Amino acid sequence: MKISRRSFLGSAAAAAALPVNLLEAQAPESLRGNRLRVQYTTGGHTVPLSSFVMFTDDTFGDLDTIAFPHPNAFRNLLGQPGEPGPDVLVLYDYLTESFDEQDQQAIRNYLNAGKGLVVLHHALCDNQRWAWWREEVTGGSLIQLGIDGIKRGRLKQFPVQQLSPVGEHPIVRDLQPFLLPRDEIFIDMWLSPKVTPLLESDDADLSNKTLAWVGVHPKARVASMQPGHTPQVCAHPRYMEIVHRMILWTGGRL
Amino acid sequence: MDRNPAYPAASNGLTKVWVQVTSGGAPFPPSFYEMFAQPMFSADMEIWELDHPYDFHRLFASGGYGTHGKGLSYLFTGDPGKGIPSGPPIPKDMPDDYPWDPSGGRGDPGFDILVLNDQLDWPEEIRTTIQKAVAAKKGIVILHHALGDNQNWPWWYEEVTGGLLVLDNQSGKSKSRISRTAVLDLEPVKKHPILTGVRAFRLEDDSAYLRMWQSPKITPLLETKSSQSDKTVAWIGPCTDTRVVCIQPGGSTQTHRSEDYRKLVRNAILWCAGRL
Repeated sequence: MKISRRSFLGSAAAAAALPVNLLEAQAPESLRGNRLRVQYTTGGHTVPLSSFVMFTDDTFGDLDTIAFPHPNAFRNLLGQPGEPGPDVLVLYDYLTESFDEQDQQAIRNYLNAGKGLVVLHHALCDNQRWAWWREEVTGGSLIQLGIDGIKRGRLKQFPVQQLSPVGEHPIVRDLQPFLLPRDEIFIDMWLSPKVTPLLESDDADLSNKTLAWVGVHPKARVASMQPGHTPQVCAHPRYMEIVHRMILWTGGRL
Repeated sequence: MDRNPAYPAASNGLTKVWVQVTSGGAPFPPSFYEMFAQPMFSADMEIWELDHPYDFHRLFASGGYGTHGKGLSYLFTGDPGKGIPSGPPIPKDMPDDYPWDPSGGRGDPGFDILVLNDQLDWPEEIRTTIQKAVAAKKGIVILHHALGDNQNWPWWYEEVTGGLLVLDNQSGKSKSRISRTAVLDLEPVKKHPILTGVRAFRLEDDSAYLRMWQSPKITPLLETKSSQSDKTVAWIGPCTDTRVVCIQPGGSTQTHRSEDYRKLVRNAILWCAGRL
């Protein structure tokens, strides 16, 4: 029997009151130094292995990253004595309905504390029935479910496109246009007029060319990027550089 | 075992072993998945991460729409209810030599092997699916965190895995002890295909489990004399319907990058798939 993600999360959360060994996945304090603490949260969809490689010390050596897929992933976002929470949460999950109530409250508190959030690819499909998420946080969403008044998005697989920086934001400052390897594009996304565009695509099917942007939360720094579906993209140096800059900026280091 | 020449070939000419790796509910270093991206694995396996929430239905063949199953494609072609329809589907731009992609719309044979590093009590629906997978002889490799799965499902730890990291005191079982940054000297117990090329080796920075519940029916593969750990740290589970291997270490980057550990995990997957 196939179950919905919502029913899984509900039943798993209810049944899975398992102690979470947060410290086990973190480097010893002496080795962490002043590195940004990053939590990479996946779940509900495949993620290329190369996207995890990106977060290892060999690539993002100035970040102290743990991977923490759902469920239970938001239990320690604000930290507790001896178990610090992340400075930046990177989402690459795919929870199309809504986070459960506990996770909604946790992420609200986390964002209101001024922490960082980076939203990659599938995660732009999160929380399609939670208007606050797209209107007050990310500023963009691929709506696949039937939501009144919002155009439903489509996929385009797997074109090559040129991405060009927009403006002088620190995330894209001094970047040059570049060709992205084959990737999945979201057509007809919902985008808030309040976002700050960072990258544009030259793909002819896009009605709105913006593929990366700064979100709209009043306290937290939020950055989103649509590309990231294929292993080739997640291993592309320019893509990794932009993800890295997004993490640094949302974490207050850029 | 070989099925379809359209799928990528392994180094031995057979179709690659399809492996689903699932985590969820517990944190770990990104090096865990980095391990599976190494040529040692990718030469013989088609490996995809599929983290929770997931219901293991991909262990069975799909007729069409990759990871999403057939069910989601309608979202991009029609309007099932509310919402404003968008335009028509856009033809795929996917060269013939483009590799299989979970969302690429091509069917797949279903994963052969499930590698678990989650730590959850699975809901009933998932338990039903995994029971079908066991009956269908899908191999299972249990790593580290996943030894804490299903605290209240005796069938799982008594009949399938043969071991349980007990997370809280419960009837007849005392809570196991977890030691972080343990040093483990590991020695192969016997000759077995899973231990091919695996020497005695040391892991200097892993989490060790002490006082796990372990079935007398398991077949030990690796042992340690560390006082921070149970003696048997890798074993073959007692399942009679399919092949199951459990490996207790796996919580640190140092372990994930150990050549011996990687060989152990690789061999366990191939053995569960009947390739060793």
